[in-house]
Amino acid sequence: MRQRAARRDAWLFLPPEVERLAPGLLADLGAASESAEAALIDRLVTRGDAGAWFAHLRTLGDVLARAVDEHGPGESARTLALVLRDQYLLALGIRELNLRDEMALARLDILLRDRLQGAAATADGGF
Amino acid sequence: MAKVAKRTTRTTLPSEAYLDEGLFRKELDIVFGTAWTLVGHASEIREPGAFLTVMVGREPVMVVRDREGILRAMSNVCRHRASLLLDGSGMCAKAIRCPYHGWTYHLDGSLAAAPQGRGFAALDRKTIRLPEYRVAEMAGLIFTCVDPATPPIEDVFGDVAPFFESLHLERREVFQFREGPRWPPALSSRWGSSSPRYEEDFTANWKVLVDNYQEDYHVPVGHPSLVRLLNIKETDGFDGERGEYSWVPLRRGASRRLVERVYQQVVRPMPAMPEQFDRCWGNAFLWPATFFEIYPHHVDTWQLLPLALGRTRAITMTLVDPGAGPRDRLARWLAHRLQGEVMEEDTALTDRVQVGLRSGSYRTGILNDYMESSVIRFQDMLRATLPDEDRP
Repeated sequence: MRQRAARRDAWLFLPPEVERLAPGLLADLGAASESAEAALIDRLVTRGDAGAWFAHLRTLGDVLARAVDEHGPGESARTLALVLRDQYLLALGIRELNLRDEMALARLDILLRDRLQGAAATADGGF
Repeated sequence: MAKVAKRTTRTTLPSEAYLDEGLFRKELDIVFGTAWTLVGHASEIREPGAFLTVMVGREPVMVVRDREGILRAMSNVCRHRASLLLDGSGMCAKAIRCPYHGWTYHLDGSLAAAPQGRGFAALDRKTIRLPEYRVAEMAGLIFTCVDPATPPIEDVFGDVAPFFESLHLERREVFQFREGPRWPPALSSRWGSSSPRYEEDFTANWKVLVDNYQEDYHVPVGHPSLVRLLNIKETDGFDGERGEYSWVPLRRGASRRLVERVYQQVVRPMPAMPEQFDRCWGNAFLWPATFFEIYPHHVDTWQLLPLALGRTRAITMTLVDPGAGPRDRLARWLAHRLQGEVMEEDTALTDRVQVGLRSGSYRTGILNDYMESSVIRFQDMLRATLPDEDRP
């Protein structure tokens, strides 16, 4: 029982960095209200599951791509892209998730490489 | 914890520091033997004859309230053949009697009498007494120190003392765990015989446990349910010279998990808790190995006792409000249950580290100066206290 719960909760190791950074970064990009995004992430963490979390990450990826289209590259966009990219890379290590959203990861890689100054190629990209 | 802004490259203690018998013995004397060590709660030792015992490094110590009401810390070792005198805590008779041969000491530590005393060629009862150590009270907690050169407790923990005082621990009482240790402890200690401490042994070096307890980096990975319960990004705290504390608010949104949701509904602060703990969990650390889990409804102390190089005992004392009602007891039980899961997860994690440290391919790692800043400070303090930690 306990092990099943632990497996179900395994995805929860992913959100803290997104929760800490994404609301402010989205606000910087003019793409969302910081408090609304914070509240949304809070709801996903308390009530959501892995599927809902990755659906939200895909939404964030779309929002990011649009922001880069509209305003061009910038530090906030680059940081958000790196944070999101790390989510997909870290998710590869959760066997229970069996989730490889390769399309989303590829989109972020392309965005980073082509629009955000090749940051994805740097060794310490996420940090 | 968001405490260190400066970015540095910091390495862990080398793996040998966790595996070296000689260093372990030095730690007992130089780290634990010079520290102020938690013994218990003031309420446990109010009456003349009340006593508490503790190991300070390799030194067995008793703290006794004598007939004149003076609190004394003394060696818990009989001067005759080195037997331990007292066990655990409780009330002495009017004197302390060694269970081995019956040497009997007054509560001030002087020898009252020895059976068949005329059989000793050189028994001068006036000169034989239990060595006395230092004892101090801070915020309702009793501490002892066996090293006369260590600065007074108010200097050592002075910068965190106001925080502990703000918890009004002196108003609390010690929860009695039911016999037959199991976690979480029962809702009430009214049934069966009881103990004021819960003890659990770990198969890891004491520093592995301190390192683990000190950092939040592993929390989302090792304890995902805490991410759902606590708003980790709102963690705040204070780092003192030889102590630190932090707190993290509970999330407002109802958890999807029943046990967490019920807890969210029943949690409320004890009387006289500081406002910041209305809906927060906190923790605190006192050098070298005492921790506090601070909940709105109770406080757990968690003290590590190194038994051997790779074996450590954790001794838990739970402080509750004397007026706690059923709702508060339920909140405490639920919090203990949730923390029991965390403890189980931590045990698995620290066991893995203890095995990994023996690897020939690992010597040292790097520390995250944002999420592992407390480990950096702890290990720096160890290096300052015992330079051999870096080269056992």
